[in-house]
Amino acid sequence: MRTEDTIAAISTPIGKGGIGIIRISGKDTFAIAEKVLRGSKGISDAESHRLYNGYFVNPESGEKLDEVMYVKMNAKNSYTREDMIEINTHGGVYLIKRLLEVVLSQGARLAEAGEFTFRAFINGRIDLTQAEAVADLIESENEKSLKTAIRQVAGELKNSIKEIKDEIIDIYSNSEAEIDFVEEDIEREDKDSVIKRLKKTSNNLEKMIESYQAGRYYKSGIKVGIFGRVNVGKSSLFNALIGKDRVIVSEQPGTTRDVIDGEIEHNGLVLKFFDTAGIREGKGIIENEGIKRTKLIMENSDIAVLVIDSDDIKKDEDLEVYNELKEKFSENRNVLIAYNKIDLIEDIAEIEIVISNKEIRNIFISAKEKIGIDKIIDAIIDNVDADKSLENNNILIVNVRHHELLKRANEGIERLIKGYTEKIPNEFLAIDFSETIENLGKITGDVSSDDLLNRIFSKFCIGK
Amino acid sequence: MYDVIVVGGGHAGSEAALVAAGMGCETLLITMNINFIAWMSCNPAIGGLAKGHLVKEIDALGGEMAKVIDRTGIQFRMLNRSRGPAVWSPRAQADRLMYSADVKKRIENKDNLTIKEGMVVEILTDKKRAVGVKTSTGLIYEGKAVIISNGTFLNGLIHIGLKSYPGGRAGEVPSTGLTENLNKLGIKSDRLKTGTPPRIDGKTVDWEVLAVQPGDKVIIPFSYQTEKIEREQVSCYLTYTSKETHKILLGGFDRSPLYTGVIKSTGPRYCPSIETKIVRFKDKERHQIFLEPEGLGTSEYYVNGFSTSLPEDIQINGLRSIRGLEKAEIKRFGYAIEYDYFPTYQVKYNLELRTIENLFLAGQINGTSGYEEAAALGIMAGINAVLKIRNEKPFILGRQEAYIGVLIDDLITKGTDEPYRMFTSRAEYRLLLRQDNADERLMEYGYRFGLISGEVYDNMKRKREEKERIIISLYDKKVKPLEINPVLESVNSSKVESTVNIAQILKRPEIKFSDIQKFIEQEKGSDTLEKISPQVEMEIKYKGYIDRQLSQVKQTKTLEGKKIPGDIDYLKIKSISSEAKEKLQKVRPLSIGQASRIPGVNPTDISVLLIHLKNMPTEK
Ligand SMILES: Cc1cc2nc3c(=O)[nH]c(=O)nc-3n(C[C@H](O)[C@H](O)[C@H](O)COP(=O)(O)OP(=O)(O)OC[C@H]3O[C@@H](n4cnc5c(N)ncnc54)[C@H](O)[C@@H]3O)c2cc1C
Ligand SMILES: Nc1nc2c(ncn2[C@@H]2O[C@H](COP(=O)(O)OP(=O)(O)OP(=O)(O)O)[C@@H](O)[C@H]2O)c(=O)[nH]1
Ligand SMILES: [Mg+2]
Repeated sequence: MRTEDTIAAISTPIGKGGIGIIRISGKDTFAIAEKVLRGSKGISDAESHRLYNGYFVNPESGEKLDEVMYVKMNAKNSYTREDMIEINTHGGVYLIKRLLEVVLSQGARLAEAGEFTFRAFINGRIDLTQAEAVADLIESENEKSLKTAIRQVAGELKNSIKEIKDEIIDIYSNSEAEIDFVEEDIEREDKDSVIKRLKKTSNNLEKMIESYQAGRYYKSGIKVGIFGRVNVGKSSLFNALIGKDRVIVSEQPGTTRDVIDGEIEHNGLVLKFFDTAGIREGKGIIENEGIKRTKLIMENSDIAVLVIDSDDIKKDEDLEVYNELKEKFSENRNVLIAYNKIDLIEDIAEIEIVISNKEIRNIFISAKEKIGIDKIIDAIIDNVDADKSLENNNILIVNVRHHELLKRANEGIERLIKGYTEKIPNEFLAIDFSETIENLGKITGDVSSDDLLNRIFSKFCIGK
Repeated sequence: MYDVIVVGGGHAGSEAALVAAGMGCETLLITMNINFIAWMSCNPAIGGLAKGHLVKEIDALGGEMAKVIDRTGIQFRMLNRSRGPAVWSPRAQADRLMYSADVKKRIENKDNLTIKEGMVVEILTDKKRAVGVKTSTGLIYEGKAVIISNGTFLNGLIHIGLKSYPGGRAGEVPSTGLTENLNKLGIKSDRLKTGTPPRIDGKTVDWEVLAVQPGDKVIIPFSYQTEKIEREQVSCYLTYTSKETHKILLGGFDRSPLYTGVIKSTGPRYCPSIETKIVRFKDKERHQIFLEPEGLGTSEYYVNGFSTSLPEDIQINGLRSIRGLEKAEIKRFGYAIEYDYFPTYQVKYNLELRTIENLFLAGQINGTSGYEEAAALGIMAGINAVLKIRNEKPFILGRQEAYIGVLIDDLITKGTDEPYRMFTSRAEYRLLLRQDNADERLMEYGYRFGLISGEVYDNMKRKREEKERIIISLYDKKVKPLEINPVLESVNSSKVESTVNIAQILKRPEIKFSDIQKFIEQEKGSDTLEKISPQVEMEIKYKGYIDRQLSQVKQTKTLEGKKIPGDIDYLKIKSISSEAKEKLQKVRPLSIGQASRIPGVNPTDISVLLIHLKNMPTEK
């Protein structure tokens, strides 16, 4: 384990809807915090060990991702004896993971199990109870509460990583053999062949990295927000989807004022639905607050269902909601449009289509009569590609740590490809080889450094 | 009463005795035959990849090996010249007799150093502390510290075909009694195996048909203290085995000690016998054979690549099926040897036994193989024995500092089940541990111990400063497009639009140092630039990689600094895996950094260990 870089992790066990804490420690902590936190006081001016209110923003887009509380801790008095920040979030599981990813993208590395304690110890400060908590954490790592299907995939994961690692070790061993055994009669691999092999490996890694999204869906569910003008039947749809009359439905516009969530399971996938307050020009403080929350759900949903009242289409207002959604969802296809109340319409073909975009699906339903509800579910499943990704890869990355390590491994391979292209001598490339192998080894749990010499001796006839 | 007694005048023992005496200790070297001091049992060559690095490090510390090979080498080559200087490595053929005689003379002329012939059979101890040695004839020598370096001699057993007989190496008797004596003192021993090829008469070789491998035109010396070597060199020759050879050899396998199970101990994988090669690489139709001269005054040639313990008739028939060797006469037959060694988890970083104070182990008996590895361990044991009796802090080199540090840490931490040889790939900080900067890394130690003269040390400092000055000047020196573009054009490098510094230009892959050399100012008549240009080029061109390695070093240092108390009982720590427990209990790492390098100890074990360490004081 290294101790010079900056690490981050979610430091509370994440339960449903609970508060989560993201912890960052290391020399770049404040610089990273400066980028992602906006508060009444800048990070450099904030006092140590004081709770501040602020926003967590995406530094790339400037977008506010969550309202948070944070504590800055100067190295002198922090748990790890390094500069630290703790960010309290309340957006639930999905959001906190998203925030963590932002922190990691700003230069922090995901902490290994027990690593904060490790640093606390290394830097001469540790607290006994916390030390024991770490031991618990290490144990719980071993009994991941994954569904059977996922567990199988996790087994596959180990094999696939081993294969990739093996390939890298193999290429590395050729490169090292050329250095250490110049005098030997061994075959040298030409540059183009090496680059080809590296590219192929990188492609495989990329596929795995991409599966993280689908993997996350399998592990943590798909978040589906239901949006629309007031009184279009969002709550009715929500009830129909979860199969229970959870939410109050009434002809009174503006009935729903807070976010309500509920989930169902569908072929091993959890779908989490969020009913939201209908959008209309602000009326009263409570409703404003409700709309604020609606927007937060917009930020954090994987899929949006925009409900339109087929019997009462208000094109301009519907479009306004749509445009707002379009901004938040990078992929158009993740917005579904549900034309509701078709029981009141004689001919569906008569319905005025508000948005015509090939990527966007229009689904005609009646929440009240439970028509077309299954089509919505199918569209959701279809959209996230979870099934497809499972079929294609057999691998799902579900763990943020694995995701992070794979990304690092792939960066290493990309550097190697560049190095080979630029004809950098092997002895330098060794750094990227060993780093890549180390990162892959951290996923499978074996980091044996003798692999390399074993490989060389088994492959080449060495020895004068 | 001696200060230091060294048992065994091989490559380890010679260096150990010379440094102990050099540091001012009254030193005794006892060896079984004074005619065979620093005798090369096997290949008459010094250096090669990673081994060459070791020799340069020994030299920087004030050892002898580099200077001796510079004086007695008969062919010199810098290997890996086509790559960067980090992995260049010097190698030389030696005249075996001259080499041994040169070391012997150094020893005889050394102040404070006495040499005696004799075979040590017992280490005298007093309360688990070495106090002297006893020879087979009953003579007793008292000493404050004892270094043993018995090489392949301990209960050595030589095999040729199905015949075997006791021997320390061909023509010499084995050392008996000492292993048993140490076993009684609680030291564990095990067995390893190695082998050597036949030597043939050069007069019977058809040289005309063989490929010649000459030495380098310009010799780069091993020693930082050797100005220049100008000498006529001899050549080596290259030929190959054939399918026919392999068939003949296979015909003798029913009498092979290796393949009939007579030899049970493990040999080195990187130095396999020819029989192992043809078994393990069945599809390879031919294997390289180098003919290397044994010396200037002899017609004997060493048949490199043909190490074997097959019976004599098979050896000769096999050899004669090789091109150029059709009429070859074997002067000495190849053989294998099994011998005792002491697994290295039993010693501390200063090479002193954990359980017997002031008794140090050096060389092949630590499980290594090779003259350079032996000499490296010898110099370290010598220095540490002196420091020990002077009650001074042990001299330990880090993995980031020297190949010697990697060597000792690997032996202690990872252990070895085959004779251990150094490779550059074993050094994780290879870009920093270069053969060209061993002096910058280590000479200061040699100087502090009084093994390097002030003059030599000052020269090194001057060279280093000059190098740093040149590097800085390359960053400072600006050139206009008008000046630099012709140079760029001539090597097909894209032109620049505005003024740039030279370092920027040198960073381009297609630009060599020689292309920009004319822009560097240096003192008139100084040849420093010529000497250090590869270094300068590398340090600028690959700065990014070197910096990454430096930051890795920084990161691991923290872990090395986290010490583990010596009295910890790993078996009592519940959550550590049982494999890790066993390994930790055996190796007894000094720091968290070392613990994390032990094979079988994983990061989770380390975390648990850390927690345990914190809890320890409250448990007491
Ligand atoms: C057959 C053979 C093949 C080898 N092949 C290779 C190879 O392929 N590659 C390679 O790198 N290395 C090889 N070696 C190893 C190389 O020779 C050794 O690594 C190196 O010589 C070890 O140095 P040392 O100082 O430890 O021991 P040695 O050079 O063996 O010296 C030991 C000295 O100790 C003396 N001695 C031993 N016991 C006593 C005692 N009880 N009392 C007094 N003196 C004692 C001996 O007389 C001898 O002078 C081979 C060695 C042999 C014998
Ligand atoms: N006929 C018919 N009526 C529906 C349907 N869906 C909802 N309604 C009615 O429309 C009215 C509003 O329904 P809600 O589900 O409360 O609508 P909403 O979008 O949640 O409204 P707000 O929370 O106020 O924004 C209720 O009277 C429902 O009975 C449908 O499919 N057909
Ligand atoms: Mg509602």
